[in-house]
Amino acid sequence: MSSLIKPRNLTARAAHRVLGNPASAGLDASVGNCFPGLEIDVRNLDGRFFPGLVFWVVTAPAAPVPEAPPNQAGIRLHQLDFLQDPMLSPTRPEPWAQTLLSQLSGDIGITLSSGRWYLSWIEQDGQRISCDQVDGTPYDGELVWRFLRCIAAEPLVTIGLVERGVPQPAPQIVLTGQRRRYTAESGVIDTAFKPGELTQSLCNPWQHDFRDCACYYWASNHPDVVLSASQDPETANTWLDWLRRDRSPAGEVAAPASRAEARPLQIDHFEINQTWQDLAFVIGGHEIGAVYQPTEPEALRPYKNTTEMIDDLEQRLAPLELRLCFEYLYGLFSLHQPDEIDAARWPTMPADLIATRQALTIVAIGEMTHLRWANQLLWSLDQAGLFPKGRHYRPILTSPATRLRPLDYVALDDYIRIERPGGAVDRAYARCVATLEQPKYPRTLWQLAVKIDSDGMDHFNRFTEMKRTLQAYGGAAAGGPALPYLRPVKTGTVAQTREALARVKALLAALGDAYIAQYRNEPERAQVAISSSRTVMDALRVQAEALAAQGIGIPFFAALK
Amino acid sequence: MRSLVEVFFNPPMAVARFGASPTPLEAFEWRVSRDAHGRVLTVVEPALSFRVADDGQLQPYLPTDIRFKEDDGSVRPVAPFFELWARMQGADGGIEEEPFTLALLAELKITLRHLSVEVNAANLKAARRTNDDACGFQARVAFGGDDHAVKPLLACSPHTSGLQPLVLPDQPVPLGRVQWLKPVAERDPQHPEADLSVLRLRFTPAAGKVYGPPRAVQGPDRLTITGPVDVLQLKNTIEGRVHTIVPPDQRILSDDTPWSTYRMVTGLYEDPQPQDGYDGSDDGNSQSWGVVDDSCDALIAVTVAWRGNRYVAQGRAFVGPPAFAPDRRPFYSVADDLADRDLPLVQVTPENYHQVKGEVVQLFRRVFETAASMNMDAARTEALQDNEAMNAPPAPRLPQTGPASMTEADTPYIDRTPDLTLNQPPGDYTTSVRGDRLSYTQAVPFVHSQLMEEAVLIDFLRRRHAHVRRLLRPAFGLITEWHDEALPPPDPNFRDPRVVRDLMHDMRMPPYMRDAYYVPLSLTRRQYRMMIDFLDLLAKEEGVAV
Repeated sequence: MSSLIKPRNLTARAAHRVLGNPASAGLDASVGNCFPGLEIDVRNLDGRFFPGLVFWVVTAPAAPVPEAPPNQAGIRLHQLDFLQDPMLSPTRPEPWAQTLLSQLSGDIGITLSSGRWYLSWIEQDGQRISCDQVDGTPYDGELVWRFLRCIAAEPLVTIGLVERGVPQPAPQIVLTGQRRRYTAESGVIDTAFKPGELTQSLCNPWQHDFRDCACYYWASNHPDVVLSASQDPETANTWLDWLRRDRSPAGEVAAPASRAEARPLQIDHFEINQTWQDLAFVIGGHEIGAVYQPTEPEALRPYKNTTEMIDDLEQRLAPLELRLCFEYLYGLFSLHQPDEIDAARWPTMPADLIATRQALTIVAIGEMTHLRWANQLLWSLDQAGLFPKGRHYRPILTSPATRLRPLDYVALDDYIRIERPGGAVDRAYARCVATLEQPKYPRTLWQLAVKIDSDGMDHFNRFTEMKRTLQAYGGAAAGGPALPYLRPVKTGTVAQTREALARVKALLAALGDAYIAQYRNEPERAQVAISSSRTVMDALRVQAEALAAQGIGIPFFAALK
Repeated sequence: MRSLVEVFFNPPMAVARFGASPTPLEAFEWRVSRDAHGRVLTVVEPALSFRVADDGQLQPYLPTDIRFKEDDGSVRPVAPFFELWARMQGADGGIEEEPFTLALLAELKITLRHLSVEVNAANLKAARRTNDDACGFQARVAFGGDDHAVKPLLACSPHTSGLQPLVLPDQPVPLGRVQWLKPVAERDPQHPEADLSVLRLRFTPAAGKVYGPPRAVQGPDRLTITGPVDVLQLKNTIEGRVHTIVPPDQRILSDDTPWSTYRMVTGLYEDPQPQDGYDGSDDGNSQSWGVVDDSCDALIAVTVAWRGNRYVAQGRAFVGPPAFAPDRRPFYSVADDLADRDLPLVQVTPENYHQVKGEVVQLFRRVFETAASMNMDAARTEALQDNEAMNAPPAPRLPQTGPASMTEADTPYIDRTPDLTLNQPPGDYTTSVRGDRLSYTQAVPFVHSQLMEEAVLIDFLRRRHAHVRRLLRPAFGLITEWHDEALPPPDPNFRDPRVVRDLMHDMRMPPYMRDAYYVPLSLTRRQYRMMIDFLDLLAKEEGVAV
């Protein structure tokens, strides 16, 4: 099954790959939203938007010295460069090119080659945009820079230039030409740009920017946050600062949530000039050593036929998702709310409950998503005509009842065991993956099965971390009746939870409606049903919290009867 | 007999990446993971690579792993190959593009001696800051097509009488090297897919060193975040950890050029933005330490003489830092920016539905790869603090721009985030507790990982097309689209840089990121219009087969 990712929809030949080059050698691997960037600063292109002229962007200086020229901000004409501009070849047939060439090589060129000339306005297709604000003050060069980026490749553009620092009325010059096409037919950026020009505005040295920039988007060059190489379950879900100075285990602590907090803990300027090669390579979000060894695809045993897979999805896998969803929700509501804790006695518990509740919420939402995807596998198989004759998709929103438990250590151990790599849940969809890899199935279904099958690792890590966090409060349970982070929840009766169970039923009914609508290719109707299910879920959460605060847990499985 | 029409390079442009190892990084490709537990992630897989023998011949092999660093810690550089290609016209008028090989040389009845190679590489960073050409440095090599020796790119500063060169010719800065590889007709029996008779050039970048004047020995670096203004308020203070700035053997630059006295924001220079991107900017009075790097961008030209005419192939190499996370791709790449500037909009029709869908799926995969590597909490804080300096009239239909951004109060834009961040309260800073330091950072990959998979993504877009349309930050419009009045209200379909609200951060996607002009990032206009048109198509064509 070919899975090569090919770039597409780019300028001429930009998508072409040649033997021997790493994918990171392509310009699709280089960040374009740069300020200023790492491999190329695309803003330099705008400096030559108009043939024969080179503009520089000037920002008002924050602390001008007395000898600095006044009124600097704007787009200033830096130099004329028309003799070697491919757009102004003497043999170019378009009248505008010959007119412009004549102007720049004549009196107008002489006038422009001295004094401080700025871009005053831009006009294209009858729309004139002033480079001055309403009050006549020039916009800052950095803002007008964006104007240049918004000029279309066609039709012709006319510009007004005005001289500054001379008595009023200031001289003005109007020129018309074609906005430069920055990439030639050959796929190369126009050769008017000289070697070094496209990188001239990058940081100097580049290491300075690697350390300093607040851009937060250089995913491929400079990940902000990474996971540890150590695979230590203690820190498996802890986002580390990739730029941290301390690369020993002592430095493997959570990245701060702001730049100001992170700064003292990161590599310094000057230091990075010498140590940038110590930064770790990162694969799959994890720091690695010097070598990356790709994993071999595992040989998996497919189902005998589609019917066997459908039966397993209907009878085992989808019900398993609903069961886990109920169990994890029950566990979530069994946790105290942080404000229910005596913080004087348990100073760290409110924070730990926030973290545990968030992690368990993510896992529970994950299981709900899996439930939907298991159903999506089924309805997609039916849509593809792969259901057994006489059978059709029906929503699978049922599960055998299991005992619902608060999130004590026994439950946590069970969940860790269930979700661990190679455990019951982690392997549950392996046969679906192996089956759906066969060419007769739509490839998207294989991807979907992989996705469900792979999420288990996240859940395993999250439960492991929850256990580690909550174990800090085990001492109190040794001689007492309950763990202090748990509400004293017992599964309620149907009578005690009638209203909540009605909401669970309504939730399942809405999900069923949504799945059926999707099966019938009615996305609008499906969304109405999903929105309805979320409204019900929000109300159910409020009610479940209130019941749990009274020591009553919802017997979720009773809603299935 | 066929006729030569044009010669060109494939790839026309490539990025070389620093590394001090003498061995370049082997080739790899991006693939969708084939591992049953691979989460459909983008992975890197080794691809056919070349060793270069002493005589310039290539030896193909397929690595089993990817070694990024040597045992001594030095990084392997990315040293891209440029293949020479030709456009040939047959007697029937048909045009074909093909690699320029020994066989084609023979067909054209020319030899390697009919080719010449020229490479010009330059670093103009200090020249741009000081507006002094003698602070730039450049290297040029030119040689015949039968010369397969390694050519070092040794740069020095061009200057005219009276100018002081930053880099002197007797102590040049190495910017890398190039080699015109020796083609051979025979194929390697182990790897017959590699045509070793193709004419190729390899560009190898420099090691990633810094150079400076003799005084760039040691300096302190402040441990607080400063910008170009507040650093001035702290001038004359010395604080922070002290480090070597430039190693002794690299202190070879002239110290009597404008680069050694350069200071940002004085108005004496037209500083490129951001101003504070040089060693020295954050400390003392912001005077430059006179430090440069060994990066460059290069223009490569190969000339073919045939029947009395010159045919010139031109290519470009850019040198940048390693891709430290090589399986993560930007969704707004340089390639996307170039396409956005010059290409027409993507036409979205029922007929090309599947093609556009493929584009959209790839776009969302790249979004995940960027988003999953971001510290979203820090980015949000930074963006909201940027907003505080701006004053826009209220825009009630648009998202929050203050502390309520991306919280439960940010309706109707907010969706699942409060569930996943346990209702972060309004505030510029994330309310962070032990065990949950980065609430937003944690939520983002959870949400976007689900949209990596085609069936889930398309299903989501079909159901929630209106929400997604609202949630995408519009791209800036072309000036021909802008409204006539100078201070128009925000337009729902495009942004206008004259409109202050359009320059403010909010939770629309992509959230809290900056574009190249230091304003909130959107998709490129081409990407944005493609997304909107695709959503419209999905909305119109309920029941269209996915």
